[in-house]
Amino acid sequence: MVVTCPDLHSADLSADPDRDTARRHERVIAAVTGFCPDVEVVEPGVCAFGARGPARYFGGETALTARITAALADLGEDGTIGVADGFFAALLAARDGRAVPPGGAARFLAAQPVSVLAGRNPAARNPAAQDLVALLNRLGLRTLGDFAALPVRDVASRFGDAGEGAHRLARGLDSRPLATRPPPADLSVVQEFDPPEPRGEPVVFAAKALAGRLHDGLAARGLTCVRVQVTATWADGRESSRRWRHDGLLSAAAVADRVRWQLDGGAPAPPDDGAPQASPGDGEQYQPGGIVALRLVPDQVVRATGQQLALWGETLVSDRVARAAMRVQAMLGHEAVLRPVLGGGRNVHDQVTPIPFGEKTEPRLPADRPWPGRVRGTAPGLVFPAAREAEVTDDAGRAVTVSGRCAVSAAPARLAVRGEPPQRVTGWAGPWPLSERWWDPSAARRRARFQLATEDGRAWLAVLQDGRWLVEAGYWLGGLGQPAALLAGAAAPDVLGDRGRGSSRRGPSRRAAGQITPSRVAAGRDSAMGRTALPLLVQLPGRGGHSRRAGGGGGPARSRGTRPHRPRRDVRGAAVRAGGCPARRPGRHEAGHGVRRRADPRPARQPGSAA
Amino acid sequence: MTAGQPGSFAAPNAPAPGKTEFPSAGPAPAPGLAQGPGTGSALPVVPALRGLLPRGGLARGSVVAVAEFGLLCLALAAAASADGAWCGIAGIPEAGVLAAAALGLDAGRILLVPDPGPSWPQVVASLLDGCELVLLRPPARVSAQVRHRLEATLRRGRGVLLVAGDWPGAQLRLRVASQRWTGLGDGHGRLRACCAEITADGRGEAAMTRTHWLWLPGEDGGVAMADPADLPFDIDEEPPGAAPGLRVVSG
Repeated sequence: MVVTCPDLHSADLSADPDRDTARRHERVIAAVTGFCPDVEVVEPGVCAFGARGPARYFGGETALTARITAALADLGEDGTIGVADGFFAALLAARDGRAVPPGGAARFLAAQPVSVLAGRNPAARNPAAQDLVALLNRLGLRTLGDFAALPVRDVASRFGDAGEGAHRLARGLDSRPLATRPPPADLSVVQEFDPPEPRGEPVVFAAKALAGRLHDGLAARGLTCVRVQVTATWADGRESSRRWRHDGLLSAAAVADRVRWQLDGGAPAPPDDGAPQASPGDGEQYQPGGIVALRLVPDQVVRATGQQLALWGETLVSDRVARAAMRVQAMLGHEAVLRPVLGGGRNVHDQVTPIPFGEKTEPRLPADRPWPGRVRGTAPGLVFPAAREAEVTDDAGRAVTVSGRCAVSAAPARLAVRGEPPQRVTGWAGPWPLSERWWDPSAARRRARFQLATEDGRAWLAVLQDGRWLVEAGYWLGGLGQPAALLAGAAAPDVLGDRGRGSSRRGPSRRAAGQITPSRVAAGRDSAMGRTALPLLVQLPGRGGHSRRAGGGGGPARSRGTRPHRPRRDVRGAAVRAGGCPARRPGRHEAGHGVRRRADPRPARQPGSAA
Repeated sequence: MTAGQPGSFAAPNAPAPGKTEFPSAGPAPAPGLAQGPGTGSALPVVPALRGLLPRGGLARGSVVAVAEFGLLCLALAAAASADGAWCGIAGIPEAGVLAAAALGLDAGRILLVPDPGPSWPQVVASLLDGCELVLLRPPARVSAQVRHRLEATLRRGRGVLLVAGDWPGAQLRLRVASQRWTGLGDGHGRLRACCAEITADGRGEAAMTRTHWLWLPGEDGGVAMADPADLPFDIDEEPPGAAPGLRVVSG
C-alpha cells in the first residue's frame, strides 16, 4: 500500500526555509504510522507499507484506505492511496487512488505507458531512466506491457542494467522488499504532578531524577544532546519552555539547577504580577495553581563522542560567571545575555559581534584583514543599535549633500538629531566614502561618513546614505555638567517609557534632557546653573528629594533638621513614591528601621501607581 | 577645586585599618552603608582616574553613579576588567565595545544584557553574583525599595555597581562638567582626543568635590591627566561654543 500527498510530493524541501513542508511531512508520516508502525518513507510525500496485516486488522483494504484518507483529511492534507501487489504497481495505483486486486498487478502495469518508468517527481527524475523511456518510445514500445513482453535476455543485452531493472518493474517484480523504519524512540522524559505542585523545591527535586532518566536513556543508545529543552506546565495552562546548552556536559544536578532558574525567573507572568519586585533570591513563590508537568526533551541528539575542552585560547568562563549568565538567560531568554566578540568590518556595527552566552564565540567578520575604508582612530563610546535619523544643514539651512565625486555641497553648520534641538557644528571631517558589496544588489550600499563635533562638546559619527543623514555613533564621555540635583533631570521624562525600557525610546529623551548643557556652558559655569536648572526643576515631581540631595556630604544631618514641609522620603532619606498616602506616614516614621521590612510587600502596588 | 593630586589619596589597596567607611554618614544612610565584607578593598582604576576616587579605586560594595553613559563609564571599568574582573553591562544597548576595548576592557570578560526588561533588579542582582563590576542604566524612576535591595545585594558580594544615570544613594557621583574633542578641523582631520573636566562628589569620604581635567581618550587611546595650563582651549573663555573652532594640538 502506498500513500502519496501530491503537494508534498512535488515540493522542493531544500527550498523551504521555514521547514514548514518538512513539518507537514512529518505529521503525515506520524499519522500513517498510527495505522502501521513499519512505514517506509520513499521520498517526500510518499510512503509505503505492507498492507496485509493492517488491512486484516481494520477490516479490509477499503476500510483501511478510508480510515487513512480520513486521518490525512484531519491534518488538512490531501492524500491518495494505492494498493497493489508490489511497490511499483502500488505507486502507480496511488496516482489514481485505486486498489489493484491481488494478482492483477501484471495486467494493471501492462496498460501503463512506459513514461512511468522515468518517475513522476521532476526533481528526482533519473536521466538514465529518461533516456530509456525516450529509446523505448522510439522503438515503438508504448506501454509497459509491450516492454514486459520482451525476453529478459534480449533486454539485458540491448538496454543494460538500467533496462533490466525497468524490465523487472514492468513485469511486476519489485527490486527489493520495503525498507521500513522502526518508530523513533521517544527520548524525552516527563514527570507529572498530581495534585499540582505549588512549590518549587519538589519540582526541582523531581527534575534531578528526571534528568537522570534522560541521561540514562541517551547513554543507552550512545547518544548525547546539544541542548535540552525544559518545559514546565502550570495548572492554568501556562507553559514555560527554555532550551539550555547541554553538550553532554551537564550532570543531573546541573540540569536540576537550570530547572530551578527557569522556575525562578521564567514563569510567564500573568498580567497583574508584580514581577519586577520579586526578590532575586526567593524562588519559593510560584504561580498559584502549581506545576502539573515537567518535561525534558533532548534537542539535537547527536552521537556521543566525548568532548575535549580547550587547553587554552578562550577566555575561561568561571562557574560563577556562567551561573550568573544562565540565571539571566533563564529570566530573559537565551539571546538576552550576549558576549561581544571583536571582529573586523568597515562600519561600527560590524566590528562587534554579540553572541549569546554559551555559544561559540566567533566574529562575523574576521579581524585579521585590512578592512580599508573603515573609520580609523578613536572608537565611539556609544554605538546606537539603530541609527538615529538626523538632519545636517549648512549655514543657509539647506541640507548638506555629497556628490557622486564625493564633494560636499557646503560645510555642515547644524546637526539636528531627531528628538533633540539642533546643535551648531564646531568641527567636522569627511566625507569618507564607502561603497560596500556593490556586486550584491541586495546588500550593496554607498555611504559617506562624517565626524561632526557640536557646540555642546559632543561628537557624532554621521552617515549620509541614500540622501538621508543618519547618526550611527556618538563620542562623548558621559553626563553633562549638572550638579547632582539636576542629575535627576536627565532621567526625568519617563513618560517615554519607564516600564518598557526600550533603549531606543529612552535614549533620545535622555539626550534631550542633556540639551540644557550648551546653554549652561554658554552662560558660564557658575552663574548659569540656576537659570538653566529652573525650567527642569519645575516639572520634576521628585525635585525636593533630589535638590536636597545635591548637598552631598552634609546631606543626612541637614535633611533631618530641615525636612521639607511635605516630606517625601522615608527615614533613610530615600525618595518615596510621589503619591505616598498620608494615612501611612506616621507609622512609617515611628517604625524607624523597621520600615524596610514593612515596605516589602508594598512595591507590588507601586508600578501601578507610578505608571 | 584644584586639579587633583593623585598622590594625596590613599593607595587603592591600603585603607586605614579600622576606619569607618562613611564616618559622617548620619543615621539615615547608616543601615545602607554598613561595612560589608568587601568594603575593605577597591577595584583598581586607571591611574589618571585615581585622584577622583576617594580610595583610589572603586570601593567594593558601593554604587558609583555617572550622570550619563559614555566613555567615562567604560574608562572606570577598564582597569578592573584588565585585572581579571568580569563586567556586566545591563540596559545599555549602545555600549561601544570597541571603545571599551581601546580603553583597556577585556571584551572577553564582558556580559551584555541590552534589554533587561521590567525584571531588571533581578537581572542586576544575578549579574552581581557573577561579575565584580556591573554597569547599569536603570529605568527613569527607581523606587527606593528596589535601590535598597540592590544595595544590600551589592554589599553581600564584593562587586561595584556603576550606574549610568541617577542613583540617589550613590556613594560617589561623577559628572562631566565639560568636554571638548580635538582633532577635527573644518572639513579635515579626525577625532583624536577629548579633553574633559570631570567632577566627583558624593557622600562620606567622597563628600569633598574634586575636579580633574583628563584626556579621555588621549592621543594614544588611553586615559591621562591633563594639565589645566596646557589645555587646547582657554578654560575661562566660555562658552566653548563661541570659540572660533577646535584647535589641533600637537602631540
